[in-house]
Amino acid sequence: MIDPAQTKVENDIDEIDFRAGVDAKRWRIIELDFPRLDFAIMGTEPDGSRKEYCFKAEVSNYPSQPPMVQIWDFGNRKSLDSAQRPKGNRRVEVTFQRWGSDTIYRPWERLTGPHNSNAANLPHLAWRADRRLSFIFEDLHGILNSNARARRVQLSA
Amino acid sequence: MTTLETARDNNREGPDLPAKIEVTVRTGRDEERVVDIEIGQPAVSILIVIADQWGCAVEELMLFRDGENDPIPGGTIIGPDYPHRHRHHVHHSRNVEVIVHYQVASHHREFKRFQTIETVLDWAIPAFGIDPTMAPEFELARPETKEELPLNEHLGHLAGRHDRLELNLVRGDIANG
Repeated sequence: MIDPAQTKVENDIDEIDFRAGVDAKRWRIIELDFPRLDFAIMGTEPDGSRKEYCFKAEVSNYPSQPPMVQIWDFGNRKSLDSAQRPKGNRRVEVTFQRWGSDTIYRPWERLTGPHNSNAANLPHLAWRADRRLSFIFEDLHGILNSNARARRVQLSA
Repeated sequence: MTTLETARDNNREGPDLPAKIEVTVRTGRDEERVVDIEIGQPAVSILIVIADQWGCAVEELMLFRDGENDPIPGGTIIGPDYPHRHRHHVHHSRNVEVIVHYQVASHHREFKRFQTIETVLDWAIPAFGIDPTMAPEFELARPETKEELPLNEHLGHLAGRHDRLELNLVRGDIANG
């Protein structure tokens, strides 16, 4: 019998917002081996170059339990070295910082949400069971590409 | 007979109905519907359905595919290979005046309804004289809310039937850690 959480994850990666991101090459699924979900998101570096970052998520009991997500180095089978993590403005630095649990530091994340009451303080960024995976992917994609806005504004100034 | 008349004529039910495809059409911030279109019908058929629902003329509406800046011509035939799994958007053809507030200042400019929050941010940040290096820290929110609007949200969906849209330029929230 298939775990209902797996069915929900499969449905979410087939929904229209998620597919739109795949079609636009904003993100891609590397592998779903439930409860592990490996994925990659395209970002923009401070110098304007494009770079893809990989992530490993644990999605058991989804969606009642939020995903646990780490930025991951699949070649070396460990979380990405600090020197290799995304650079840019403070939001980028905080999101991908190394901290005690070394997961993505956003309120929707399983371990970050309760840490320092992040989910309670920022409910519009917290996980809810009615959210879809595309919420997380859009959030990460927006942060990973925030450097692009700085460059656009600089060029137009 | 015009494309519009042909499409209306073809909408009548017959004994041998051709295959249909479902097109997901976004019509507002929280409004989305699935429109059934017969293979071989022109794209204007989608606008006919929405115009009936909105009580306006088809000519007042424009149809877009997600991520594209040009409207889909009404005569485009919805064939079996048509990318119907992409979200579509319907907007009034009128522009929307966007007013952005930041601290005690405000700036305004007209935008097309299919343009996005990201387009407004790219204009508003230099308009308020904000240092470009700070640009990634800013987001747009509706007045009296804290929720940052998605960058790819169409202005037309936020404005609804209004021709004016007020937004606040705010610092994006960062988790405390």
